[in-house]
This record gives sequence, C-alpha cells and structure tokens, in this order.
Amino acid sequence: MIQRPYQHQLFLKFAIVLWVFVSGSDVSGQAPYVKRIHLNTEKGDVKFLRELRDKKGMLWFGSSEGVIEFDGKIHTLHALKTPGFDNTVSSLYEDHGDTIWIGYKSGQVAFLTGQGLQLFNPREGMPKKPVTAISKDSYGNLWIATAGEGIYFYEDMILYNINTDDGLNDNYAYALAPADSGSMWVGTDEGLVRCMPDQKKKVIEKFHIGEGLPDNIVRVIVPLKNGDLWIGLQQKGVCRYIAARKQFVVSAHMKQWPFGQVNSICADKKGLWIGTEESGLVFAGENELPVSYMEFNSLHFSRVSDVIKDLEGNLWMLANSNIYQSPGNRVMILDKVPRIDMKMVHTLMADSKGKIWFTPDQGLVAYSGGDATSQPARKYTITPEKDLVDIVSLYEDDCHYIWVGTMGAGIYRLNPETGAIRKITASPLLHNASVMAIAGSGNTVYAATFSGAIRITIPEDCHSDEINPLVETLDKDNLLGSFYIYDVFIDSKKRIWFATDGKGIICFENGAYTSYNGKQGIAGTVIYSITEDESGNIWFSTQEHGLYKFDGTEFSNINDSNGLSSLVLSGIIADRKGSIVAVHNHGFDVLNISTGNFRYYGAEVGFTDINSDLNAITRDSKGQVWIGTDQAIIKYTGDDRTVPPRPVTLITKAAVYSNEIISEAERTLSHDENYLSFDFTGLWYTNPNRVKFQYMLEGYNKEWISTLDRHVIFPKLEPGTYRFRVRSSLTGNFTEFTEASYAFRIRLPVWREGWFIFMAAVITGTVVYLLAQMRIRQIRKLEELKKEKINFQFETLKSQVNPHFLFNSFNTLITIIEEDKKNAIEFVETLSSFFRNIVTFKDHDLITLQEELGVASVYFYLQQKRYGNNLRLKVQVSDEAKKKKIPPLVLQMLMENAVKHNAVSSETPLDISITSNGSSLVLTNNINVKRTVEHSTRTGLQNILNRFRLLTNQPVVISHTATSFSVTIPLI
Amino acid sequence: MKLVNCLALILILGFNKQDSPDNYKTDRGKVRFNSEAQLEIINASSTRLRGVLNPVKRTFAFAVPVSSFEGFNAALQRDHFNENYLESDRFPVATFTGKIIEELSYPPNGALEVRAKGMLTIHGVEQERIIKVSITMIDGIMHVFSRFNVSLKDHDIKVPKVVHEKIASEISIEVQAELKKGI
Repeated sequence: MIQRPYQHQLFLKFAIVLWVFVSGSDVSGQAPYVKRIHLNTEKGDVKFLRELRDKKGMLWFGSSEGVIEFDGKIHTLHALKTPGFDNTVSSLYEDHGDTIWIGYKSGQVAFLTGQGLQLFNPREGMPKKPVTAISKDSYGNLWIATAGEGIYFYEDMILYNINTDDGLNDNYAYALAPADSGSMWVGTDEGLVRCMPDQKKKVIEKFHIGEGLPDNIVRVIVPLKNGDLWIGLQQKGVCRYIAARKQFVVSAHMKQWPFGQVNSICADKKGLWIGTEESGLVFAGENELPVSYMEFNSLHFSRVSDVIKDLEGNLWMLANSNIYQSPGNRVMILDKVPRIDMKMVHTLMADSKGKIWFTPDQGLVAYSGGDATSQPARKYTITPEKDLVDIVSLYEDDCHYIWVGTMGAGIYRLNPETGAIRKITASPLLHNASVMAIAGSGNTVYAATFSGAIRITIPEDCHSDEINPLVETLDKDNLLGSFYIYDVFIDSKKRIWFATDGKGIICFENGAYTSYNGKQGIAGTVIYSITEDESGNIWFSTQEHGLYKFDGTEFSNINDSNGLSSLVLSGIIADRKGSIVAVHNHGFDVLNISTGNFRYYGAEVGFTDINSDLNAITRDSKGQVWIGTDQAIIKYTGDDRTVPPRPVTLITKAAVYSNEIISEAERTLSHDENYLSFDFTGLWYTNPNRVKFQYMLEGYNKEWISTLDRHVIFPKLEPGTYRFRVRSSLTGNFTEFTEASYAFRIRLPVWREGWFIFMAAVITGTVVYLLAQMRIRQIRKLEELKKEKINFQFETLKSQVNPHFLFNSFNTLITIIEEDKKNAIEFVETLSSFFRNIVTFKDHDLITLQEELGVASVYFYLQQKRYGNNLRLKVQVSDEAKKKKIPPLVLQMLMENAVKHNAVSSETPLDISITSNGSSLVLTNNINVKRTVEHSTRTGLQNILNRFRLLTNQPVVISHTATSFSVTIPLI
Repeated sequence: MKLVNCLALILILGFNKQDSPDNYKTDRGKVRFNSEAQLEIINASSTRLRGVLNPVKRTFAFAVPVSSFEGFNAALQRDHFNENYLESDRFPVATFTGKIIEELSYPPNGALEVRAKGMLTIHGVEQERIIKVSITMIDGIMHVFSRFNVSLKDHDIKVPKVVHEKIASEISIEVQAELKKGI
C-alpha cells in the first residue's frame, strides 16, 4: 500500500528554479473534516432543524418528522401518531429531571419521559405560532418562547402569557435562558429582556442598543455559570453580558463581524463555535481573529442552523437541514492552497521559521500555516533539463538552507529567501541517488538512499549558495552495505538511527554500528520509519509487524492485538504531547504512550483511502502533526489525553415482555414476569463501530459474555435476586470501560413461599391424621360389632338352652298330650319350628321385621299354650315397617323378658303390644310384679342395647313406669 | 376594592364612550355556573352579562353583577352566596377584560376558536387567565361561547369547613352571549 513512485534516475546538469509569489485574497482553505450522518426514516427525506446533547451524552435531533434519538449507531424516532399532528420540531430542551421537551412549529409542546411521548396540554390551549425556545426557571416553572405570541410561563397549573401588552419588547422571541430567583432572560427582535413569573410584575429589565447591547435582535443566549451570557446577534456577531456590571462587552477580535446572522453558539475550552446564516461555521478562538469555514472536504454550505459538541469533543452541525459530524479543530484538511494543485504530497517538513514545506506532485511549496487572513504560499520548482522529479525528502540545515532529496536525481540545496538552488555534485554517489530521508546535526548531514547511507560534511560557514561538502559513504565495514535505507533519524542523544530494508534497525553511535534485529526479538528485517518521544524512547515501524518501542534496554512490540488498526504503516511521528501518531491507509491511530490506549481517526472522520507516502509526515513547533496524502494535507492538533477513550454505557430499556419498566430503584416482579429483555448502548460517537459490549446477569451467569448486539433477552428466569450488568469498551480486553446495571428481584410463586409450604404441610398432616383416626374408629366399631354379635349369639344360645323354658314347655306338652293328641303333635311341631328358627337366624346380623314377627308369633303360640288367655299379644305393624330390619331374635328376647319378669295369671294378665311407629318399633307390656323373681343376669337387655348401638345412631329407649314397661327399638 | 369595581365599570363605560363603530356589544349575555360537590350540586345563572369586543383592536371587556345570579337550591343558599362567599356588597361586579391573542380577520367571519388573555376579577381578586373562547359570526351577530373553571382559592373565596362537601373548590362557568355591532 505504500506508494513508491519510481522514476528513472536522471542526470541533471543544472536546475532552473522558478518561484512564484502567490498572495491575494484567496483564503488558504484549511477546514475541519466533516462527514454527513444519514438518519433515515420511512418518510425518506428528513430535514434536521435543531439538536441537543442530554446530560448522559446522548444526541437528539429535531426534524420535520419528530425527534430522533441517536447513539452513534442506532437511531429511534419519537413522534406523536395523532392524525393531523405536525411533528416538525422547532426547539429542544432537557430539564433537570432528565425529561426532553420538544417545541413544534405548530405551537404545540410535548415531553418525553420513560413513559413515552406525551403532549403538554394545559386547559388554556397552546400557542398557534412556532415554539422557538423552551426552558425552566430556577423554581421549575416551564417557559415557552414563540415567534409572534411573546412568551408563556406555566405556574401552579395556570398558563400565563407575556407579550407587548405586558411590557415585553416584541412578540417575536428567539431564545430563553434562566437567571436567578425564577427570572428568565428572553431574546427578542427588540432587545434583551428579563422576565419574572409574576402576574403583577412580568418584565423587570430591558436592554436595547441604548443600554449597550450592540444589536437589538437577540437570537441566541448561552448562560454561563457565573451569571454572564454569551449573546448571538443578527448583525454584530457575538457579545458577552457581564452580570456583575450589567454591561455588554465585545472582544477586540470580534469588533469587526463580517459573518452575518448568528444562529447558534457552542462554547468550548479554546473558543466559540458559531453557526451563522451566511458564513457557515465560524470559530472564534480566544485572542484570535474568528475564522469562517464554508468549504469542507468536497462540501460547501453557508447556513449552519445549529452547532453542538458531544462529550468526546466532536462537533455536530446542522447545515442545509442535514447532520454533519466533525472532529472540529483536532483534524483539519488543507486541500486548497492558492495556485497550488494539491496532488500526491510526497513529503513534508516543518522549518524553524514556522513554515510547512511540502511537495505536491513534482512541486515544492513553503506554506505559512494558515488562518483567517490569507498568507502567501511560496512555490518553488526544480526543473532539470528534461524531466521533472519527485521530491521525497526535505531537511533544513543550521544556515536555514533547505535540502531537497529527490527520486533519482540526488540532493539539491535551496536558499529559501532568494530561491537559488544548487545541486550537490561533490560526489558521483549523489548523481542519481534516490534519497528517502535526510537528517543532520551541526555540520554533518546524513542521507538515507537506495544505495546505502551517505554522510555529507559541510563547512562551518554554510551561508552561501555554493558549498563544497565532503561526501562519503558510511559503513566501510559494509554493515549497511548497499541495502535500501528508508529513514535516517538523529535522536536527542545524538545517536544516528537507520531504518534498513533487510538489516533491521541500525544505530550508529561513537563510531560504532549496532544492529538490532531478530536477536533482540524484532520480527522482520524491514524498518520504515523512526521517531523519538519526549521521554527519549525510540519508536520505529516495521513492514508487517507494527510498531516497536525501544526504551534503551528492551524492545516492545505494539501490533493489532494491542489495538493498532493496521500493521501496514506509512509513517509514524511522536507529537511530543504524549502520543505517537501512526498513519495507515484508512486514516491514523493516535497511541497514548502512558496508557497504551488508541484513538482512531478513520472512516468515521470521513477518510477514505488516503494513500499517504512513506514518511510523508512532520511535526511543527506547536506540536501539530501534518500528514501528506494523495489529495490533501491532514493536520492533526488533538490532545486527546484529557478524554479517556471510554464509551458511556447506558441501559436504554429494561422490559418485561414488552412493557417498559425503566426505574432507578430495584424492581420486584411476580414469578410469572420472568421474561426480561434489555436494550443498552455505549456512546462513543467518534468510532461507534468499535464499541464492544460485555454483559453478565448476576444470579444467572457466572462470567461476562461478549457481544456486539445491543439487546439481550433472558426468558424463563427462576425466582431470585438479579443484577444485570453491562459494560462497553473500545478495546477487546476491556481495559477501559464504563458500566451500567439494573437490579431486580423475581418473587417466588405463592406455592413456593415458605409460609405456604409450611401451612400446606400442616394441613396435609392434620388431614392425614384425621383420616387415620376415622379409619381406626371404623375398624374399632367393626370389631365391637363382631364382638357383640358373638356375645349375643352366646347369650342367645345360653338363654335358648334355658332348661326352664324346656321344662315349662314339656310341662305344657304333658298337659296337652293328656287332653288332645292332635294339639300335642301341633305343639311339638311348633316347638321344633321355633328352635329351627333360632338355628336359622342366630347367625344373621339383621333380619326383616316380618321374619322376626314370625319368630315372635311362634314363641307367643308356645307361651300361650301354657298361660292361656292370661297372655295376650297385640301386633300393629305397618306393612312398610315390616320390610325394615332389626337384629334377629330381639323381639323374642324382649317377650321372654316380659314373661320372665311379670306375673301372668287370671287376676294379673299380661298384655304385650308390638306397634310400629314410623322408623321404630315399640314393645310394651304392663307390669305385674312377681313375688318370686327368676334369676336374671340382665345381660339380655344390655346385649340388645349394645347391638343396636353398634348398628345405628338411633337410641333404644326403655321406658319403665310403675305400670308399664316399653322398649322402643329403631328399625333399620 | 371599590376602586377596582369602579375601574371595571369605567372600562366598560369607557368602551362605550369610545363608541367605536367596530365594537360589538351586549347587555343581556348569559353566565351560568355549576358547582358539583359530593353532597350537593348548585346551578345558578344570570342574564345580565354586559360585554363589548373590538375585533380590530382585539380587546374585550365583560362584567356581570354578582347579585344577579338566580336559581340556587334555596333562598338561604343564595343569601350565603352573596353575603358570605362573594361578599357582593363589597364587590358587586365580576369582570374579565383583556385582549385576544390570535389575529382576527375584519370583518370577522365564520367560526373561530381563540384564546382570550386577560384579568379575571372575582371577589375583588385579580387573576390573569387565558381562556378559550369560540366566536361564530351568524348574520352579522357575534356569538360568543366559553366554558372554563374558576378556582375559589385564586379569588380568595373562603368556604367554611362544614360546607366543604357541598361546594366544589373549582366551579365551572359557562358564558354565552350574542354581541351586536353598533352604538
């Protein structure tokens, strides 16, 4: 990529010098580099009218389609979608609460917060004329300036108006700036006014031309911290209002103001950048005459409507309704020198008198810097007999003669005053030499050529055009040999360094040569340029391995892994301000020696291929670096050490699904709000494409994850405490970075909360316990039932084998046998049937009432045979009741009880009645007290009670009165 | 206070005295006010609004006698209104005078929504207000309509605490008038 223009070496006998005095009114045409920034919207051609930098560093542009937020890479349009709403922005303002206020040409005002864009809608209605400025006073009241309706202020929810009827100078207001105690400066068509938000006294101070204001039309007001103001006027430029003296002061350099109307003022440390209506961009440095720039690299504009600076120091201009970004004074282009055709600049040199010598194509020009007033550029031509030559090296000796090294035509010595030029012919070595570099000290001058190194010794008194130098080749030992030498450099210790093609870097000190190459760890053997920084370190660039730094003992390499943009460097130089400037084909890198950080100036500035020649770089006494390219000269005057190259990291949106939840405080989310997304950015407008990001979600990731995206999603997060951290940096290893973070917490779902689990466990335990208890009870009941049944069976069996019953039955039988044989047979059959019943039913748990009545009636028949009519049974049972069930042999036992416990005789008959009563059965008998009581264990009745208790909740009711006994048993 | 009222009347009379042929006037405009509080709604109106508007100079002056409001829910309420709240014996007139912000064509035509910027004086206390007004010209008569709110606090109208739930702190006012050109 390094051009090495070849020309056949020519023999020159003599040279003819032409110099032309060029002066006149042509401006010397140094201008800042400017690059157009395209922010496209759907609507296509958008006009940009106002701009703002917010406190965090983000840039906002007011356009004909609304306001656009721009972070260097991504732009977002904020516009009101109401049909018919004109989104043409006419002013922008950021208040102390970080809200962006937008004034529209239609008179409307809107404000932008985390909740989106909302219209400001006081009930009084809004102006109908364009809003030219918005501000807030020290009490926080909103002020609106309009073009034609005066100004408004909003206090306690009431909108007030101040116009000419209230004492305002003019209803056309252009600018607002807050002053003390709630008052507000207003710039109008008829002077500067200070107003108060007080409906009784609205206008408190007025300034016109009569009170010292240079011009009545006050278009721009920029407040300063001490209460002073910069004021931009229609015709008289810029003046300063000194608050302490209430006076207006115009600096001496700005007394003459030929630049017309002032549209915008941006103050920086070195001066004021002023956007004008007719004279483009004006820079008024302190103690300097203002300079106007209208021609930029291939661009021309005369109207600059707004100018601001970003936090890195780049200028942003709105001109011709477009956005232009510029490095400002730091990188300037010199592409127009009067009468000079700026073509390939092969080499440059700053002389001791402040002139810059450069060689466009085959010419030689001495250029005297350049400021507002044009300075002469002096052109010299070396014209040998037949062909022109390329000049590739320059040197100024102690007598201020300029040594001109050519490609193939040796060295010429020029008297810059007279223009006289003589070729150095003292040796055939120089006849056709291609001299790549010349360096000297005192009366020794060294030349680096394609045929080795040459030493030229000149006499002490060299103030004549004709000198007879001693020319000798160096290196009799052939250490340097006849290799190409690209550069020669004499350092502060008077050592002579040679950059060779093939032999590495060679140092000549005290008559001895030392060669540094692979043995010292230097990769490659081709060295192109050498320079020295203010600490005495020697720096050199190699063909393919980047830079090396030699601190006297060690060589250290700086290459692309350290941040160097390109390993192919056309030239390097130390700027003596702590940096090394390294030029490559797409621009140049500035290396901060102490921190190792790079600043990059390349395509973002507007450079395309710059095609800089080998070592076409120089530094002047002011520390400005001049770089020659194929079309122009680039001047770099940055001192970037004050701004560390760190992008500003911002989280622009934190959202759950698609709802915005931007908030400074920690946010607590419910368990199903677990889909989080973050948008973030790193502001570095100088090189937005170099910004890299790293993020980590504490509580989820364990390491930093690198990304170039500006968006990250975390779906399905588990409940917990999190902190999203994101960093941005320009360097791959994040040595310089800034960080932003967002903390949030996702709650456990109810069913995972401790108290819930505890409650659930307790409830479950209780339920299980209760169920178990129920089961146990059930089992126990069954057990008891079984036991009772067995008991009953036993008792029944016991009672049924009652010998008394048999004895009485047999007795009865004997009586019947004697009376009636047929009856007797019937009696025995019934008795047998009765016992069969017992056998049949005793194992059942329950039998129907019908069946039980059958048993009971059989038993009654048997007993009646004994007692005759003294024993009476009455049965009144419904058919329904007969279908119900009771335990077997209960009635029989109850009847037996009745007979057992009562006397039965003709005087005392026994009536037993069995009646049904819905769901129960009542057995009643009258009481006839017996004289002799048969043995009774009372177990029968108890057994019945027990059996029923096990089978049903309904109680067995025993009613024992003096005259009757009844038992009520439930039917099942 | 009397001074203010005098000035208000003078203003109106002044307009009349100027007797510019451009003036549009009325003395029978209607003013209604509506107070909607938690416990009570009060509506009252007056048809004695006097007003004049000069469309060339864009100036206007309106005045209504406070005691001319009728339609209260009870006579006692009206008495309180006049004696205690608005003190109409001390401040008999409520006025609004000022200038219209927008440009008006002359002669005015069609229907316009303009903003009237002026001093609203009620209960002797002035408050600068910008009030939206719609002006419609029909057959040479200027129909003026406006609806706006008045905050009791702005005009130092004090309502005792016991009655707070019956009177709203912001009263909504409706003005309707037909102004005719002429002397």
